[in-house]
Amino acid sequence: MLKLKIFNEMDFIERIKTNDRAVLGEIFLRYRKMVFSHILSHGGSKADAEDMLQEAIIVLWQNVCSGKFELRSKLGTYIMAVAKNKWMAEQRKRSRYTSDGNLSLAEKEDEAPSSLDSLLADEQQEAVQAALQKIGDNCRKLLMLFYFEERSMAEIAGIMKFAGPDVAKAKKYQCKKSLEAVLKARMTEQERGI
Amino acid sequence: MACRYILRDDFHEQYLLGKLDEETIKTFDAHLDNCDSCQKKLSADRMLIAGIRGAGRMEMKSEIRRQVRQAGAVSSSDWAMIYKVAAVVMVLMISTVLMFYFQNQQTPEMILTEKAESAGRVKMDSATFAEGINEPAAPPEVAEDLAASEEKETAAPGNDLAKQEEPQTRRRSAAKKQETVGESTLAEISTATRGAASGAGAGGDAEKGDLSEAVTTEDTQFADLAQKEDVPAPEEDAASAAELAVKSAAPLAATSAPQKSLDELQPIERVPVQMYRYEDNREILSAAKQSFSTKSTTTITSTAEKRASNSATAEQIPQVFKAGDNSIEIYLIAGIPQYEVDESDSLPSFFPVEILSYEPEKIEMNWLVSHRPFSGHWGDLILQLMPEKILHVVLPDEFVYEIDLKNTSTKAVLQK
Repeated sequence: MLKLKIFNEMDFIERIKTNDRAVLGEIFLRYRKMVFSHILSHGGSKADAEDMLQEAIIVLWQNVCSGKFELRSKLGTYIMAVAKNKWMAEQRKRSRYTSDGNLSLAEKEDEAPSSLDSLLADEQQEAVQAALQKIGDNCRKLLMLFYFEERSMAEIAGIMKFAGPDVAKAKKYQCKKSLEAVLKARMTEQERGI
Repeated sequence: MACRYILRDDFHEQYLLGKLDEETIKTFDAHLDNCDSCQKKLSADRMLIAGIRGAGRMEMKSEIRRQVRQAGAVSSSDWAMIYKVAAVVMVLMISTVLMFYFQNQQTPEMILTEKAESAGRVKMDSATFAEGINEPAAPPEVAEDLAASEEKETAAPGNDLAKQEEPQTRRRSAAKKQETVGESTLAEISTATRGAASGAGAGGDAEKGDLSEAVTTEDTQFADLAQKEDVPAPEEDAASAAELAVKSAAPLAATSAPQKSLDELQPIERVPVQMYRYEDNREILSAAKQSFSTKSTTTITSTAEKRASNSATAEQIPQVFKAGDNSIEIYLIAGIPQYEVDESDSLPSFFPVEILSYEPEKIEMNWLVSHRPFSGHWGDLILQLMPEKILHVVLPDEFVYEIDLKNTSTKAVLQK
């Protein structure tokens, strides 16, 4: 049984490395009960638990892809630890707000500027996400692999079936430029509109 | 004029992605305070990367949700299928059990005489094989019938249809003859049915002489069986079975189940598995009887060790035990059980058995169909099955576990 567990965990890691995205749902289902029971028993809702587990899986995915991940304990322990930390951070974040959704008086003074920044940042991120939809699937996928999953150029070349890492690097450069161009055009339109 | 960092292609994104060494980061941090173009470039790259990462996170989350939904849909459809299959299997099992229950409501006498008969039959078959054609003559009534039918066949050789129907007619007339004899035992009647059937099979293809031989063979069996009813058979195996039959039939005879007509009887050929088991386990049956006469208590050590010390064929054949007048018999289906008893006095967690009883109404229906009736604790067994009786279970390793149901103990006595 123990062997089976270790095999499954290593299997998950290997599948993440090979960009087998079907493993996402399997990991979720495997650790759902564990994470859900913790979040639900610590003041969270079912949606919170789902979100925390998803975040933990994303962290796992990113760390495995970027080579930062080492399996020193059970995978479940790792997922659980990430989910717990995420949930604590989320609870801290929520406690800063009053029940009507506004910042508490004590924190208003300090937090207001950064809140405005984050609002602007959110808008900018939305703009980037909208621009990503306009640069084509291959470019979007390539940029995701590099910036979100932090994969190496060699891995990206393998996944995208490029001739080699240099080709991947050149393609990434082109895609980034085209994304910037779309964003610039969008900003110009917005400025004209204003 | 652009600074040297701006001229480096992906310097800023490497800085943001944390791919620079500490020395370079420190140097760049010092430069950043005084470089507006670097600040702008860094801000633009930061926004770009954050946007891409945010989009990646959203995509991944939606992908997880989609996969989980699909898995849920698949699993629910799987369950639906499992429920359907389970329902069908359940209906089939129930119908089979009910059919078995209503069609094979054999009286105790029938069970015992079948056993005795099968023992005699084996003896007869081997004797026939050894002696070749040394067989007694057919009874006069049957011989007359056969002679008449032979004459008819000779008189009308071209009538194929009549030839095909002839064996059946002969079978019916032979059976009828046996029925009209009337006062014979149930064993005789059932054997007549089987004899008629095998006579029909022989008559379909064989020559007339073969038919005559087939009929006389069955009559020899009748004679053997009639002898066994009154006198113990000479062979040791047959003797044990016949002795068993007579002994067990005695108290049950008082209840005197009503005699069934020929049509109501179930031909033994329809249940060859039972025949096979009875025939193959006669020796084990007697061995089991002996084992209880020399009862000795010991502790269970290791099944693996016992298996090693026992004969290798022990697991290959089912074993039978008859627990005296309480009349419960247990067959172990050999080959299937894969249990292990560790260094403890616990019994195997489960093993498949079949149970036959002379009082089948006292056994729960599920005991007859389940292949894992002893799954779980032995206490379950004690509560469910015949609470006043002692249950004996013969395991394939030739050891007998005895459970005293009266005391409702989980204690097991190992008997060799």
